[in-house]
Amino acid sequence: MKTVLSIQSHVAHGYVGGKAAIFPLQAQGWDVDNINTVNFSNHTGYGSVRGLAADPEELKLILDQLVLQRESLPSKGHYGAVITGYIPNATLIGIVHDYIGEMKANSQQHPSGLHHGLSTPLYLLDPVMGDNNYLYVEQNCIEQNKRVLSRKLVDIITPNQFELELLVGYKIDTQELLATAIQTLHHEYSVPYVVITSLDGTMLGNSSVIGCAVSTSVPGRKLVIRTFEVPVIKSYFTGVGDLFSALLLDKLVTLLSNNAEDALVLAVNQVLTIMRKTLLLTHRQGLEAAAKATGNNGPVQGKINDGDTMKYFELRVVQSRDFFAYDGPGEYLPKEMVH
Amino acid sequence: MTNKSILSILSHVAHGYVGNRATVFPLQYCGWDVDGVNTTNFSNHPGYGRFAGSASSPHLVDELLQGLKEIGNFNEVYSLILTGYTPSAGAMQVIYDHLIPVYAQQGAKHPAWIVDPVLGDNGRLYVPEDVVPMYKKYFGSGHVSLITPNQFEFEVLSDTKLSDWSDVRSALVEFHRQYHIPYVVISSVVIDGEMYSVGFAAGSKDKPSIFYFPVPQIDCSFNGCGDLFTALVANAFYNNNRVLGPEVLAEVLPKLAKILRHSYDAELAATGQPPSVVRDIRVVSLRHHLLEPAGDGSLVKFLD
Repeated sequence: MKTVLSIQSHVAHGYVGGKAAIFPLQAQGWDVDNINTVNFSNHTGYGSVRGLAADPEELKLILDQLVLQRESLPSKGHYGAVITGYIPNATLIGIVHDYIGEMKANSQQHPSGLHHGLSTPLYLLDPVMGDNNYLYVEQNCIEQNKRVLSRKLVDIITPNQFELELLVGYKIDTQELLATAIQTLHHEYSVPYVVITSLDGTMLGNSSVIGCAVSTSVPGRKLVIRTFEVPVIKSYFTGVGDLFSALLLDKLVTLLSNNAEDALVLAVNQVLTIMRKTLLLTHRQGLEAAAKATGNNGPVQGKINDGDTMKYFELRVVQSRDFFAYDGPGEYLPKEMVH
Repeated sequence: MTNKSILSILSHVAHGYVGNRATVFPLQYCGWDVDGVNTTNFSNHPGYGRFAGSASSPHLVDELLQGLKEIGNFNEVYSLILTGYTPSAGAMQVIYDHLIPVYAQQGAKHPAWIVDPVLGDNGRLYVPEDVVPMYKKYFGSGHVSLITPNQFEFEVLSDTKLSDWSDVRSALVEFHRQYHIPYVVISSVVIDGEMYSVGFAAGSKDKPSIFYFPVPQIDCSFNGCGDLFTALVANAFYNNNRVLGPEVLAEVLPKLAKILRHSYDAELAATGQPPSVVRDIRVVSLRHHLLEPAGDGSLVKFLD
């Protein structure tokens, strides 16, 4: 059942939130119902932005109609998956998860034979709060996301390193601390699939890479954390995490339906491979567009809060359409982390 | 930004494929960067009997368009601007006030402004009465390149009734004399019990070109079909150097017919009943039809 409810931000211009996530899912055949948590002209990287966050009362009514008044809609409130991303304040996070709780309470056993604990809708939580030590939601979202995790609704979680640090409450600068934090997500919050993105490469012994850590908890088996090392592209891109999570949902669900072994590791490898192609295309076209517009062939980098450079490096989500179907072995070599 | 960049100002529903939800994905799938400004924020379209959410206030639409202006000049960013279902005259006025200065800018290559004047269908108006004169105001601006009304909408906007080809011809000619819009597509017109899609191109001389294609009739209504039609026309119109000719409809109509036919079949298979209405056209699962090659256009006929 390739139906998914996506709850994240909407921007008219640019590719973050739903704009980065929905098209790739649709291009892969998902019917995406989308609820906008904000309605903005553009993302904040431009330095100016206009629009509104969702009204809590209206959000509640829309969720009520989609989830509880299920008889009137063909989906009957049953989605194959739910994905959430940027939600700007604790009130809205609370409302969204009350309804996800409802959906999980009416859930059905996931058809995958390998993973007995899974139920539909599969829920992917990207606890979007910030990046590179910069918080871009209200402070109270941190505690609210912990409360959400305590409800044990989440099947797949995709925080970046900074968000993981906020959730566990300490700075992560060694592999031991990383392993401890991942175990917290598995054991305390019962999340079976954990993917940590944007890891500082120095922690993995290579400062010229960005790391990604992957871990699946299987009852009765020792936890194995695997890491991927991805070469850095020197530019600031936005929406990368949103695209990553959407692609991960598509790949993981496909692999789970095929009962693939180590589905999460392979899914992440596929996603990283697609991301690299997408970012290289974005970077190349961004440089070309900047050179054409400015008559300057020198190096240009996308910088945050600088609309003049930012605008050239919007993710080429539409132009990358054919990348999203990739289902090969992946171009990266996962390493087992010793901890 | 690429050239295929469009500003699409239509409704948003969380579930289903009407308004921006019927235009944005098909345009993206055809390679367009689509900036979507939403004139509503609804759970689903009203055809389900109940829905939640609200129309965007004129103030919000104003803010979003102002925000977009602050990060880029529409003449540089967009090659097309599409305006469609807008539930209030207030929001329509705001859109008008933002777009007129774009077209007033001298020396710029302007985006082609395409208007789908969504008013209703089959004799029923589903916008407030005061929206009708707002569309006439858009048309009178002199900046609209192409409009895509259905028969009912064209009849309301031109104060005519289309019963035979002579009516169609005189109404289009009179409409052009009044508004000088270079291109008009009437998405569907029923003449002598058969359905047609009609194109009008004013041309450079006095003699316009009016052409039409037969459209397979399915005894069923399809929510969002007009929005999808407009999106496909916008794409084909742009690819044809922003000129409306039979080749544009020859590209669009076979794709639309397949998507509607297969949506009907899917609904029939799902419910076991021949549907009288398809509430969710299968835009995503039938996406491969969006990229199919154009038909040969051999069925075209011209009105003298």
